[in-house]
Parts: sequence; C-alpha cells; structure tokens
Amino acid sequence: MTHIHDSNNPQDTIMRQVTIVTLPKEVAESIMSWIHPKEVWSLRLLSTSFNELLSSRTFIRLNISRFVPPVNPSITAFRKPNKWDVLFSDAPAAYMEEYVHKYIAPFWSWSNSLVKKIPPRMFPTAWFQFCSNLTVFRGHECFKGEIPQEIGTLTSLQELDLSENEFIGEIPRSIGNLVNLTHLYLFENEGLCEIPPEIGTLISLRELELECNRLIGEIPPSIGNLINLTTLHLFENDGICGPVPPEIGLLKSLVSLSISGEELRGPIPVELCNLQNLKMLQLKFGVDFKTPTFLYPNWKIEKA
Amino acid sequence: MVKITSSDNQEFTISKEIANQSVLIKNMLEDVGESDDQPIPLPNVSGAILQKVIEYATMHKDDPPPAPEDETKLKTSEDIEERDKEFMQLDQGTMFEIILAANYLDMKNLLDLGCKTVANMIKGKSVEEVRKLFNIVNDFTPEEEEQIRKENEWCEDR
Repeated sequence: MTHIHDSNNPQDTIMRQVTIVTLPKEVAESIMSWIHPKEVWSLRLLSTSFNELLSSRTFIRLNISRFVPPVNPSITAFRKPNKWDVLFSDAPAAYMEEYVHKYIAPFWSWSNSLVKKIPPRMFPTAWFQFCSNLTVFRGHECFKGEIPQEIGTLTSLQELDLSENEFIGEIPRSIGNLVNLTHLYLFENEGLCEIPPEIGTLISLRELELECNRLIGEIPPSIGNLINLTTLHLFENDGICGPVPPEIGLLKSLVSLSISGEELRGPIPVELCNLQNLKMLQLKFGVDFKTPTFLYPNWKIEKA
Repeated sequence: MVKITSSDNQEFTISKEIANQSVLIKNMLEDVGESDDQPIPLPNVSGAILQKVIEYATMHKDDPPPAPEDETKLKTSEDIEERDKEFMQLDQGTMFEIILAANYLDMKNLLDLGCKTVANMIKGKSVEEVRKLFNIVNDFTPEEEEQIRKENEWCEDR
C-alpha cells in the first residue's frame, strides 16, 4: 500500500501501516455500516475478519439504523407496511431478528388502508420466531393467502385482529395454542372457510368475530367451552349449515350473538333462554324457520 | 491559544475554537485549566496528519451547530459537502490515518466524513475489486467460502 507521508521522520512510516483491516473494530463497523444491508452482507466474502465483523449483532444493529427510519409508536396506533418490511421479510436470521425487535414487535399494529401503494402479501411467518412475547397483533388490508399454522407460536397473544385482509382457506388448528387470547377478530376476509374445533380451547376469549367470510360446515359444539364470551359474531357466512349447537346456551356471559346462513337449520335451541345477559340476538335461518316462543325484546330472528 | 504536540514532536499552536472540535482536547483543557500553557501531547498522531486535521477543523470552525431536526434525520454516505469531498482526496494511507486520528481525538464529524468516504469507495464494487483496492487477503477455506456464498442468496436480487 502506498503511504505518502511527511518523510522527515522515517520511523513514522515504519511504525504505522494503517489499512482497512488494521482499523479498530468500531471504526471498521462505522465504515461498513454506510453500505446497504444487502450489499454489505455479501461483503462477508472478503475475508474471515470481515465475515466476523459483518455478522456481529452490534454491526447489524448499526447498519439497520443507518437505513431504516425510526418508527414512533405515539404518532399513530397503526403502523403502515413499508419497503423495509418487504426487504427484511426474507433476510438472514440475524438481520431479521434485529429488525423485528426494533421495528416490528413493538409496533405490530399494521394498517395498509391509508397507503394503497403496497399490495397485500403473504404473512411474514419467519418473523414469528422472534415475537413470542407479542401480546397484540393487528393488521388490516395487509395480508393475503392462508393464515399459517405458525400463528400458533405467538402464545402470548391476547388480541389477534386480522380483520379486513384477503385471507382464504381454513383457520389453522394451531390457533388453539393461543390460550391467552381474549379478542379474536377475523371478520371481513375474502374467504376463510372453516372454524376448527380447537377454537374451544381458547377459554379466555371474550370477543370472537368471524362475520363476513365464507365459513362452511357446522358450528363446532366445542364453542360451548368459551364461557367468557360476550360477543360471538358469525353473520354473513352463507355456508354455515346444520343446527345452532345447543352448547351456545352455555355461554352465560354472551351479550351479543349473531349468526346467519342459508343452510342454517332450525329450530332455535331452547337453551338460548339461559342467556340472561344477551342484549342483541340476530339469527338468520334458511331451513326449518320457526319463530321461537321465547323471544326477548332485543332479539331479532328472521328467515334468510 | 492552545499548544499541541504530535507523536514526532512537532508543535502546533491553534485557537481554542479549533481545539474544541476535538472532544479529547476539550476535555483535557477543562481538566488542566485555562492558565496552563504546557503543550498537550498527542502521542497517537503524527505531525503530518495533525496538520491535515487542523486544516479540516479550521475549514469548519464557523459551522453553525447542527439543527435538532437534522440530528434525527437519517443520513446517507452521499451527504458530503463539496469542500469535504475535496479535502478527502488523499492517498489511502493518509485517509486511514486521518480516520484513526479523528477516532482518537474524538472528532465525530471528521470521523463520519472519513468513514463515509471509504464506504463510497466500496459501494458498487465486487468482492474481488474491494479485495484488490484494500489489499485484503482471502483467507477462507474453499468450504467456508462455499458456505458463505450459500448464505448470500438474500443479496442476489438487489
């Protein structure tokens, strides 16, 4: 390496041969941190010492902070998805973990409704492994595809609100792992089509809203386990069929109950009389419609 | 005025406002008090490099303090003033020594400038080109290198 110097002091040239590899670690980190994450990650190929430097957590944290603007949770309740979310959604684990800790987990309340620039995308399942402490997850108009089984790893969740997305397919059975859930909102998705019986393990649930989907099949009787439910909304699901399970009569805390389906069959179970707290009842039947004899003032029952 | 001496015993006399751009010197001055006119020894910096550092500090002595909103704004390595770009047109050895000196003297702006300049030299170059530019020796075993290449998938669709 050339080393032009005031050569009045020859000792100086001998003493020091500063190169990029002999710089102190924090200085080398600072230099490399100005290079875009995707480019700098490939520079691990330079040498073993660069590999070590560029793989370290301190470096990765600094590197991300140079490029990704901080998110201020106090400005809006919802965070909009951005290009960095897309970039880091398939990043190497070390980058992903740092990114999720700083930019995702603390603000995991997303809404795309104000910015239509980013099309809905697949669920960033790979992030879940770093989010086991997440308690609230809200995302609207952000996602499409199936709700992945991995959702069941977010076991600290108390509120899961994935309403108004473009989810299709079955609600995964692993949802039964989320035993701390008190609020589950999956309404207004394009085509969620089955309620798994595992829903019955979510005994802390207070609000369950699955309306405006394409639910098919019978309402699982295990729903009768959810004794803390105050709201159960299953309306606008034309594929729901079979009878209303009498187990719904066990949901003593229910305040609002709403179910509708072309194939929903009467009669209305007499057990609904047990629901002393019920303020709002909407039932829409297609088959064997018969006005019950035990109507309460705010109950509304009609033929589909 | 403040006197400082380099590793090779060159003495420089500089104004206080220039001296204060180095947090290291500023702290030393506060420790020894105003009246002491003993030169401050800087055993880690040669005279030639100190000369350049003083040149930079002189150039920036009238800079206004950064606005608070600028402090939080994200910066990129492209945000370099024209006069600073010219100042950094140096051979590699001098450039790295200035970076080291800025690190030692705790001069954040100069350190940032140096780091950004080197980063800009690296950007857009292939691994091979960067190795050549800085005399970096590839010390991987073929197996290690293969492993890292595999993990580089993320970088390929830039």
